[in-house]
Amino acid sequence: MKTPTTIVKVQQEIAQRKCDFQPKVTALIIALFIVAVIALNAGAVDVNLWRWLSADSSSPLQHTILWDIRFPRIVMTMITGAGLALCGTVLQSICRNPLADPGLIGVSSSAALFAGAAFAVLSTVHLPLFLMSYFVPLSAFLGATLSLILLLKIADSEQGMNTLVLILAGVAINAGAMTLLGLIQFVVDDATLRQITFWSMGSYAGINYTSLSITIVPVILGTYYFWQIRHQLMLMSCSEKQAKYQGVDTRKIKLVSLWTVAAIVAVCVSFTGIVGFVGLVVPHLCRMVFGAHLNILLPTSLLSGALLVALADTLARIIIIPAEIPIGLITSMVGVPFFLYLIVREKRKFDYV
Amino acid sequence: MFSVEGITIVAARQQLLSEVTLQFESNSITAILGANGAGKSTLFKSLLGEYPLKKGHVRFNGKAISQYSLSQLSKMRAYIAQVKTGFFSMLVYEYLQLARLQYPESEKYSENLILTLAEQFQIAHLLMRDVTYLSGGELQLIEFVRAYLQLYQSANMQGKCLLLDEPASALDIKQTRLLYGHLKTFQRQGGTVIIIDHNINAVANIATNLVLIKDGKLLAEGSSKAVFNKTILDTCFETDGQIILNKANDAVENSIYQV
Repeated sequence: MKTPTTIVKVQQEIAQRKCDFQPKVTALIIALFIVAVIALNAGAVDVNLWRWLSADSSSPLQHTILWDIRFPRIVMTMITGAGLALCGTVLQSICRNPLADPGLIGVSSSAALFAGAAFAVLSTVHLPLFLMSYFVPLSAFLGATLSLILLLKIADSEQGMNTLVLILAGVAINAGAMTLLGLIQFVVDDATLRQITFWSMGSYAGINYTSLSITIVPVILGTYYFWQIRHQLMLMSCSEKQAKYQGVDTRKIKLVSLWTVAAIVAVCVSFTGIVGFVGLVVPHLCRMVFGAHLNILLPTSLLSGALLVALADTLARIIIIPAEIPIGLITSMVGVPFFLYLIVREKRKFDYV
Repeated sequence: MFSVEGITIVAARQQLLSEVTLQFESNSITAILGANGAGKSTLFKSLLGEYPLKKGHVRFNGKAISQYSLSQLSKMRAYIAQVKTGFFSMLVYEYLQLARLQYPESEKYSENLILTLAEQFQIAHLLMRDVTYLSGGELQLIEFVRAYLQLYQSANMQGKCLLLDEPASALDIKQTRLLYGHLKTFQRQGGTVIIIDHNINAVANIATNLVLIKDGKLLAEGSSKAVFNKTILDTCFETDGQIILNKANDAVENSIYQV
């Protein structure tokens, strides 16, 4: 009989797909460990990890470099890589658009704007020492928060949040922030201009345990929240109206998600400048390689994001030793061709829009 | 089941609905008919709570729909629109799993439920396909199963309502018959169906009740037998047609309104 065989075959395939998942995630975790070890070993100063681990004592310099500089830096690359990839995945589901990116909502460019303003202020005003090291990150965070408030003011209403208006408002905020930043760049002196430029290109130099621990909080909270609502997100990625009719509180989810994404992007950008394309490219790669179901996509995006940014930062540190290439340049160099490839591939589907 | 009282909806200075009052009987299949722009979809959308009403009420089982939580509503009524592509890639099986979101149950239970219903509604061969590659007709049938899964708490569908907005427009004749057959099954299990369809002859075939809307106002409502006649239909569609009865009997299920 034909029908029982179909059902049995379906049951087998369901079971098979469940089995496939575990080894993939394990492979990613192992890859992550390997990259971490490579990254700890690599750098301008020669620190041999194995010798250090096996020896009873090591030079204080090596100890400092390994644990005070490299370790927090590498963990930071992984946390921010994971956070940005997570934000990209979530935004793509909410906006029902595979080309959505954490930068879409204007938070990163507003953070860059306020960071630029902070640099300008620092060049003219003398601040007490304790404030100076946090002035730029704090300003960037303030800029990110203000821009989200503005975004919600434009796009949100009691009736609900229109996703198209959200995207357009994000475009407008991005444009506005870039214009104002251009103005700032126009009036500051050359040294400050250089500071702003390099800040915008992204760098993980100067990361310490404080910046790391501040960044970990929203990323972990965000991961927990988005994992809890992953099925709701999948429903919303099909159709928002239908998600509502199936019991999903879409407005609340959009609000909380936006705040969470903004918080993650804000802390990432505040400490490291703009590391672009991670939120766009990673979810796509993972969709293609592992699958689109959020049960699979969320964990693999997190791990892959961590992996890619850790790798990119390692490259940034070793390509032109002893200097560093801004990491944003590396992610863009990989990201732009991939983005173009994505557009060409998605062109077919855009015909229906 | 659903009742609307005196609802008036104005949008962009156009009166979409004026003072419409009617009751949708439980366990009936009610078809909403009317010319294009008459207000059928507007009526539908107000049943779904899409319009903040300044005047009038929409009630479900006696209670205003605004007083139900989203989750409660989702288990009582399911909406099937004309489908469009543009989903993210997903297996049909995974898409159907999402319909069970509001039900705390084991994965094994939902798996068995989905497989059983897929077999019953003859879509088992589509389960492992990607939704983005389905044809319009296949998607529509999947949507029906999704809606059924959304409402399913037991084989008794009393108190549950399916709302379908022109479901058959993308379907061929065989698929239309299949879908309408499923709707009748749903009704036999105690459920209520409210359906908009342009093919008045096909839908009058299964409808127990008819509601006719003209220019935003309720023109006629009642059992199919009472409403499906030349005078009323002529007025509704501003045409001059005739009713062709089935030769064997006068059953309205088999009569055709021909223009």
